[in-house]
Amino acid sequence: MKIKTYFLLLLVVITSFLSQIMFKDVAISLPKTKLSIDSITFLVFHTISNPLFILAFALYGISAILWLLSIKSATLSKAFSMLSLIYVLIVSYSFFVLKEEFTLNKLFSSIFIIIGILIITQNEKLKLWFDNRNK
Amino acid sequence: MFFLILFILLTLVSQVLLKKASIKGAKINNGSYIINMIKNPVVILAYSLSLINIFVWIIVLSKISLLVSFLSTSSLYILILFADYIFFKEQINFVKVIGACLIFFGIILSFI
Repeated sequence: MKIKTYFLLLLVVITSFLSQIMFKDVAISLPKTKLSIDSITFLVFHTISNPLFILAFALYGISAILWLLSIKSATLSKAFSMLSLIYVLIVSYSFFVLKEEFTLNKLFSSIFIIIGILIITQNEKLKLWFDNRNK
Repeated sequence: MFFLILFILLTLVSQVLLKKASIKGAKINNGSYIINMIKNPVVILAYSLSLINIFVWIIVLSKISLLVSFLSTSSLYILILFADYIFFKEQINFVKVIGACLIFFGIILSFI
């Protein structure tokens, strides 16, 4: 994967992170109803008429176009694994912006995710390194 | 539960469709890649599925606890390896699965 692709995927993650935060706010503001055809229609209109949803949706659109550009040169599994960086952003956001308390779980979650991404995206290099070691 | 499985399936199907379209789109020489992609009916179908999926996800979040819904959807990071292998002949190996599992546990850890 080229450096440019990593950069594109990083932008995908940032834009979809911002839209996810907004979608979450939209979801919280939804009234609680039992599921039926009527209530689904109601929920959909309730959501569409929310300005925050429209803004979040625009950001989602930008991230979708960036995603199309990134999967042009990256394999699906590598590009998709990069998306999990969004959880690292969420954890950092909850710590630095929402001032939630620091826990070891949160630290290890980010470390695990980053190692996981490195294993998947650098798989060929890892394999080469192991093969050379075993010679 | 139904909406949860629907969400996972729709995500996988739309990603596979997008990747299939991008392989085709990268081969076309006239016009820009993005314009070609946006005009492609497969891409429109894939993004319509994602659009439906936003509503499915909002329903999932309003019905199932955050932990359980993320626990199930994180399995996507493992499932996508198999989808990549089945549809695009991308090689899958034990180390990659370990990597995907690390991502899976990482996501779960951030919620506990």
